[in-house]
Amino acid sequence: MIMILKLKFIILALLLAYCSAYAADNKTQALDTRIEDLKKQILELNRDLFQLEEELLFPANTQFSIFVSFEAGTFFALDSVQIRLDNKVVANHLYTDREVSALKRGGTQRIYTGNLASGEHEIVAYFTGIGPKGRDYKRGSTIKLTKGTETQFIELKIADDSKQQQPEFKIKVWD
Amino acid sequence: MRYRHAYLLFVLILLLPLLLLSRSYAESAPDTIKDLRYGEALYYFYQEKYFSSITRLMQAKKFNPVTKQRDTPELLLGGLFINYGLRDEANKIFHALLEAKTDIDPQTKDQAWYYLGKSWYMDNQADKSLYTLNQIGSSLPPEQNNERLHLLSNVLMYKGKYNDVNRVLDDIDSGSIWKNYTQYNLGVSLIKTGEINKGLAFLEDACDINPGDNESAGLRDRCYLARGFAYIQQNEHAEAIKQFKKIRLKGPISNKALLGMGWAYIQNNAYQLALTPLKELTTRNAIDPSVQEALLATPWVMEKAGAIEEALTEYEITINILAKEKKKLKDSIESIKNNKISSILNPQTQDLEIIAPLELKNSKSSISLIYLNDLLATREFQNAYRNYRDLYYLRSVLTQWEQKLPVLRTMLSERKSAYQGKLNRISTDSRIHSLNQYSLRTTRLTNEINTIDNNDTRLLLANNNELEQLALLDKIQEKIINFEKYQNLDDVKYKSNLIRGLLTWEINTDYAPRYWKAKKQLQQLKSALIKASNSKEKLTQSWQKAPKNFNRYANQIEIKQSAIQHLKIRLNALLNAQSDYLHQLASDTLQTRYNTMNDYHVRAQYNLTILLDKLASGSFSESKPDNNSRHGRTP
Repeated sequence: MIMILKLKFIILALLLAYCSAYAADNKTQALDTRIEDLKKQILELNRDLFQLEEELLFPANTQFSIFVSFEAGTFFALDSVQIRLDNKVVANHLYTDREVSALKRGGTQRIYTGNLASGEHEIVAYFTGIGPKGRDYKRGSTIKLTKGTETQFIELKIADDSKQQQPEFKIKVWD
Repeated sequence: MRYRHAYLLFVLILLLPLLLLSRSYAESAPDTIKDLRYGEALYYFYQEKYFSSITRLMQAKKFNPVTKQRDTPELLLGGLFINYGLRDEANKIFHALLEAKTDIDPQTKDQAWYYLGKSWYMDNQADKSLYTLNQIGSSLPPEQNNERLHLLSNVLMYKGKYNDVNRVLDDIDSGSIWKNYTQYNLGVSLIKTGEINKGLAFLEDACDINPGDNESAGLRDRCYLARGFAYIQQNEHAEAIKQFKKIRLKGPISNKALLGMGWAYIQNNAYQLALTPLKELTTRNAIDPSVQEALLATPWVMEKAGAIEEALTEYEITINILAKEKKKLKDSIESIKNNKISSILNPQTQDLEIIAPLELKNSKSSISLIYLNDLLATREFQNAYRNYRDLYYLRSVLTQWEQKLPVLRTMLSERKSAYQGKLNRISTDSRIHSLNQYSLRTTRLTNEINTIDNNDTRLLLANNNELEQLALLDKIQEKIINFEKYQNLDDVKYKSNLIRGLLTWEINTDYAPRYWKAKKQLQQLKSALIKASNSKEKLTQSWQKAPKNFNRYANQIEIKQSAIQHLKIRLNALLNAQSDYLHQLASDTLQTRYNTMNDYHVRAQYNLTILLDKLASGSFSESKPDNNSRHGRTP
């Protein structure tokens, strides 16, 4: 009899344990609230410091940024990108799976930010990875641009050339 | 009320993994990136780097808003705040979107309502959540709408409005897993409120799912488990057993299913049959409470089945296993006391911002802390751990800025000296000061052109050669007048007039292109002058503003440095408090487990003693095996 009673208790306990949880006590809530408050303050501080850093290190009239993005990228598995600005290597990035996935889902990576004087400049981007049929693949794309007195953004886009069944590397200058 | 609160939490717990995996903002995000800064925020978002993503969007919002993506950056920011545990901030954004804007498109509006509703839901605000989720129109993508209906049904269940849940359930698309989840939740809720048959029917519908993937297979197992226990409650053991048998033998809840099956047989007095699932359970890892329960139940069932010697042996095995487990638990408790939990709490990866699910299997502490596995899976621990890791990462953020501030100071100083150098150059550059003269000259030229335009004095557009020729002709004309009285110069006069006529004709014929060219050049001159003036204006403003900006930057650096110091102190205190809290959670869990285990151990020893007493007193010599045990003594 005791065993049967116990059995009923166990069944109930199993059901409850399976389906419920206990509410956090006030102390936990207070700690959570304090953490939330701190997170918010650090986010604001981080935002302001980012802005301050940008204004000090990369003034608007000389600021120059290069972004990397994917348009489709089915013919190319990206491993790394190297950027040469006026024949000088300014950025090298080796991609993790997570980063490549973020790019393929529509994210845009800021790979380089620096200062560039007004005038003519040359950018060469080297893309390394695995191309069609699983072969090692390395391609370079070049663009010559005239930098004015405004902030300048360049986008390196990895796309698909469906006709050639090859990856295509486009460079877009943003106004 | 307490029950209700607990119930909503129960619903939330059932859903939590789904909410995290849910069809979030990302799936409704536009494909076209019209502003690279927005794309950059997405890049971090897709990597689950919420802090970085939020920072980029906040920076843009405050200093240079992203306007080309309409309201999507705001929606993303709101969604990110929810994921980052800042629901108040998220709510402010969604409210602002819904209240302040009149030209908001229906799609954005629906998304804002949806996230706001979800945020209220996660905050246990049933009424607000219900109201908000009901405001959504028809623009949500189908699967997101199914999820909305699922959330809505959970709130209605919490409020006890089961008939309304039924109506909502009809609106969820058949074939969507949200329908099965809703049926499952409704079924369990009805069983808990005593409407077992109705509950069983909904659970049966919920079980009707193709177990093609882990999520679906897991949900189907859970449905059968809930049905099995409900049948046990109703003393329908045969039905209960049927349900338990449908559960995968190696799934995450297979131990519970085996135990349930064992108890169903026991309730049916089929002790011999009960031994099959129970014995299977005893071969499994004794860390699982179901296995421990089976370890205790197995010898008892053997005793009931009349297999006394086997029961004796089994009790001894159970006592040994439980003693070993108790020892392991003691070690775990000691490990917690010695702060070994930090080795699993602290990140193993280089990128501190990415918070991977906490697992023991790859940890060096997996042996001593093995009993924490169950705890790690709880929502409470996961939330606390996430907060701990967020704080851990934020500490590294503050440290990085602390190290960067001297660099910023140096940069500021460099810019100040560069400014002084440029200022000296600018103040002595005569070109800048000549701009006014150029401007006056341009005005003069403009007047001249206007004169030509108005008075048709086309000779003003003659070129130098033509002007020289005209001057020469004038001289000739003068000489003709002087010498005309002395001799006949009609021929020379005729030729002179002819040449003048030709020259004037040429100038007149070429007037239109010359006039156009002159006006064009004047226009170019004016544009260049405007550009130069603007540049001068900018330059003037810059050199006037620069000292103020330098002071502002310097002040900012000092203020931020002080803020960092202050925040670091608070952060360290909170990090310690959170660590203590996690330790406490772990410690309490292990202690509870130890107490339960100790209870099992004592009970096993007690049962063994009783059995030995019975044997000693000869109580078993006249007794027979249980009549219901059709298979006689256990092997």
